[in-house]
Amino acid sequence: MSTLVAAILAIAGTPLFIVISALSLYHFSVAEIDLTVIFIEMYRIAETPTLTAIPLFAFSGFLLSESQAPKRLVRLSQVLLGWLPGGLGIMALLVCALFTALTGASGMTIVALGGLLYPALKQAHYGDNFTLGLLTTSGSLGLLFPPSLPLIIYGIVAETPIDQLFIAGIMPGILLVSALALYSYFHGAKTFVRPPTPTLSEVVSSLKASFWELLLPFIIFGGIYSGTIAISEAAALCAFYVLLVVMVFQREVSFRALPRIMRESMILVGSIFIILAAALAYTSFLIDAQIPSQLLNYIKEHIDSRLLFLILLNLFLLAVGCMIDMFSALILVVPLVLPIAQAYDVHPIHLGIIFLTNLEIGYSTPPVGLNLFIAGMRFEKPILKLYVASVPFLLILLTCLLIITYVPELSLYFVTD
Amino acid sequence: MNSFAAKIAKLFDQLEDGLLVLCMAILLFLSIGQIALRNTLSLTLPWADPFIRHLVLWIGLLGALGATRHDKHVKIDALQRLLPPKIKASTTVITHLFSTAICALLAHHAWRFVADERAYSTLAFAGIAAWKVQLVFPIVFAALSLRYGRYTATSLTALKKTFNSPDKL
Repeated sequence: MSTLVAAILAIAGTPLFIVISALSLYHFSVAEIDLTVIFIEMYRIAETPTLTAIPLFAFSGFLLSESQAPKRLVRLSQVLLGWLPGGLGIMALLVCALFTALTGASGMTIVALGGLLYPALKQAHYGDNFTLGLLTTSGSLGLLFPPSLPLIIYGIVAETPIDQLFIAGIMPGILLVSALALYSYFHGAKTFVRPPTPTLSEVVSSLKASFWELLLPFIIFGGIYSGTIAISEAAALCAFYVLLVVMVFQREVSFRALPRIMRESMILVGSIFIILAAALAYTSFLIDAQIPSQLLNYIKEHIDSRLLFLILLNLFLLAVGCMIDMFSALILVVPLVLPIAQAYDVHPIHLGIIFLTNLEIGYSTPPVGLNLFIAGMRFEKPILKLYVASVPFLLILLTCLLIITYVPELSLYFVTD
Repeated sequence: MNSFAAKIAKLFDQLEDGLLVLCMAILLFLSIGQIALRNTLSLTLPWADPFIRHLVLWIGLLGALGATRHDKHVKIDALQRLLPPKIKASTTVITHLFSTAICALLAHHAWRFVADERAYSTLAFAGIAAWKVQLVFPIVFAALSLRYGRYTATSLTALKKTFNSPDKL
């Protein structure tokens, strides 16, 4: 009954942290547990060192999107990939993937890069539906690449090593991007007109222009994988480096803009953390009430094959990804699904990759995937047109999802456990 | 709202923004400074890590307060997009009212939590009493409740307007 009321309130548009907190308040008071327990649980936010990485990476992402870095990256890939049929589409995919890895699927990719890429693709005679579908689905492409914020959140919630999750995401991430790149190649081949070959000096000058941004991955991962620094320290270095680049080397963001960028990025962080705080209390109730193990018993009674479990998991997660935002989905669903998945012998790191891939695709899935609405607003197109436009991309991504789900080696091959 | 109340509200908004930016700036400075100190002078500050973690808590809660003001909270608004204006305006009043009540309850229990911690005199870090840093809970939830209360009033006015407008449901 209480769950039903909560569900109705949630669907009516009540902020999720309110709904979750209301459930905790209700269940704890029914169980006659002192309600101060909610804050004992929430206070655990201050006891999780890895969480520091999230504000720092989010700030870096916002800072980069304020600078001319996206423009420079687009130019660089135009020079490097222009000779290839579908090259511009492939370039759009790559830039979006890189950008999303840094900013998370907060819709910023579509908003910040869409305006740049849409006219460029249209000008190169890519079909309208193709262009829209590509930019819509690219809004969450790249979430498997480090330093993806959702992957960090998964690692924290599932208590799984984040550096290993980063490694596990690389091959599946490459699979998703290359499948779409192949599609772009075939689509682009139809109308391809070879542009004049860029001169060496053009290549050199665009490489030079993007030099500082191209160093960023090495700065972040050099430290993590040489084992000298933790994720949160890598995030601090990343923020420091990005600050240095945009304010000192490129001088594209003024000191006066910093407070605003800090505020905007921390509001995103706040909207994630408040759900995390609320969910910490609620999941502690669920675990006390042994809900996950009841759920496990129920599922084990009805589903006996691992294959069937994975199929159902995929369908469930796609629906979740379509309905709610990625961070809340991870925070709320991972604690419930993790023990069940382990009972079916799914590796927690592989599960993380399955989760992210599903949520990523769910974001562009009609009728209510978030990317569709963001793209609809950004490009001023009716939502139905975007449904149609994203179908071929979704089919390709779903095929990749099947591969990622049923070939665990793809994720686990390089993982040292 | 009269201009005096509006001024007070604006002052609080600025205070909140300022605190959020200040916390973030200290977080940035400290986490970078810590790495620098360790690598140049092999110096570690024992209080820095717990301080940083508490800053993250403060940033999270203050950010959530800001997310309310800028309507950036995560919610399922798929249905809201499809509802006719009158029903939409009514659900907004209900969800705001509900949020006001839940945040008030949370603020009340947060206050009790802080009082408990004060009685047990738990320490957070560097000899600072835990209750002092935990005060952020009741303050933020009380502020959230006030803010949602104000929004309930605004959405009620909006609801009246929708019902006075000539078009059907």
